[in-house]
Amino acid sequence: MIDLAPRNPHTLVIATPVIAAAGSLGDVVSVARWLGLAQPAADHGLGAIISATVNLVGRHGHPQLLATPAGALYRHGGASLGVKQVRERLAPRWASYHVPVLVSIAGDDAAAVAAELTDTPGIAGFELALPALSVSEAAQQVAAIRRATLLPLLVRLPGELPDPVAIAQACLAAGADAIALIGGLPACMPQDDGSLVYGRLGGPAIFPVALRLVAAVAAAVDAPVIGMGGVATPEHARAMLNAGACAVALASALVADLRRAQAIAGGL
Amino acid sequence: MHPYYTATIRERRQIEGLVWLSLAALELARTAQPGQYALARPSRSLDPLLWPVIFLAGADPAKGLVELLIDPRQPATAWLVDLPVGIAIDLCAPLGTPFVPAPATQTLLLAGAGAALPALLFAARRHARRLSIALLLAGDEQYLPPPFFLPETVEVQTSSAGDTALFDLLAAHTPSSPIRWADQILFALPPNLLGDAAAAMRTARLRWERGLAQVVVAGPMPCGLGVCRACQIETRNGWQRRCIEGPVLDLRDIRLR
Repeated sequence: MIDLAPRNPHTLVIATPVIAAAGSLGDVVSVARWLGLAQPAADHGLGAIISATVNLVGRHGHPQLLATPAGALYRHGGASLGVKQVRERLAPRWASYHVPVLVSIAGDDAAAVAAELTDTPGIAGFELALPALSVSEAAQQVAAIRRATLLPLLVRLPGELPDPVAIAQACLAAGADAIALIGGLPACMPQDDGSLVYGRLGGPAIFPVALRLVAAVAAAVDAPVIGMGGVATPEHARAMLNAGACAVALASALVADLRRAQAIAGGL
Repeated sequence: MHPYYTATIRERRQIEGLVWLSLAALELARTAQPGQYALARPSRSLDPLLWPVIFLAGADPAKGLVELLIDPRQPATAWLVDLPVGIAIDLCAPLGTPFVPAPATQTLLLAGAGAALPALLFAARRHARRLSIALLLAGDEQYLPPPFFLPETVEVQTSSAGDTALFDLLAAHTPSSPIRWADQILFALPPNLLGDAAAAMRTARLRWERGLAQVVVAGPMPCGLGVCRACQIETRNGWQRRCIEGPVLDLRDIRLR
């Protein structure tokens, strides 16, 4: 058992060190039956699940997912779940799962979403996805979320920060319980017609970059660090844990294959 | 319960430009239905990370075999072309909603072009014993499925003048258009031809009721399980995910831009 929020009275105890990264299982409900999330003894390998991004008002958006060499490029396209949808339809289902579900929040309404959902049964905590910000901006955002909720709060850092150690320290000082990194790298890919799709690159292609940043942050902070970015095999996960992470999060690998968490948890 | 299978290639045939593969997959052969698709990847490989879509071309529950028809011009699936007999591949299947003819249907028109064409072959073979079937296929020379795959009772017309030649075969403006003949129609089309199909329906039938014309919509479906939402299509019922709420959709329900 691993506690991802040891200083938070609510705690966030996970049974395996493998987490489904934000959106890798969509709204979670769609794939619950494949993973057996409602069954107490299911062997899905997941210690926690982070939902797709939630905004005050949900949007269908136009997300894109393109194959790249040893990876995938994801364009968010403005897609998100809405607070009403989560409160009325999704969270009651999440509450019946035998694995904690956290809500991913991002953007200007992140604190408002956290405030709206903090007392909703079925939500074990929040994950704030930070864009590339300065240290003070990041601290302000985290502090705003902390004022809105006392539930465990993970902060996900992008891969293109000039000083991720300083940002991570500032986030923890502002009230974050744990740091997750990296949330992909900015990239683009051509479509069939030659036009470029801009998004974030994930998959094994970015694993070496992620490992380096995870090692740097884990060595500098006294809080749980979740290694993510290209984790797709037990060897990747072991390298992240050896570098100081206490858990790993799967994104594109889980989108591509629901069995990946089980394979990694079983292989550790 | 996962929709994952490891299937072994039992037979491989080169048919002009296309490659036909027969795979041993007992449980999948029992459950697969026309219109459904598989995501495929080489066993024990992480590249490609995203599994490409392949529409199932047939399934024989008695023999435990499923069939794929591969167009080597599609970059995402070209790696399948060179695989020899005996090699195992990973499949995530059968995915999506299938095409099921209405109980009252007696004449079925299958018409298509592009990557979803194998779904029509599957439908023709599965329903040939009960229904009168006409199959219209359009595409490029050397890359059209050969008629010998099909039961003799299926009437086949092909055009090798490109995908849009399908609408010449449909001859929607003529009294003898097969659209008028059919009790039910199943198209298999890429998204850019959906508007042409709707126009052909309007020309031949003026108005048509829900259920008459369905369409297997081709195109990327990266996750296949409704997670990534990259395959959304706008319908009268809102934005739907082709991968799980399709790929078979009612043509009337699709909002065309």
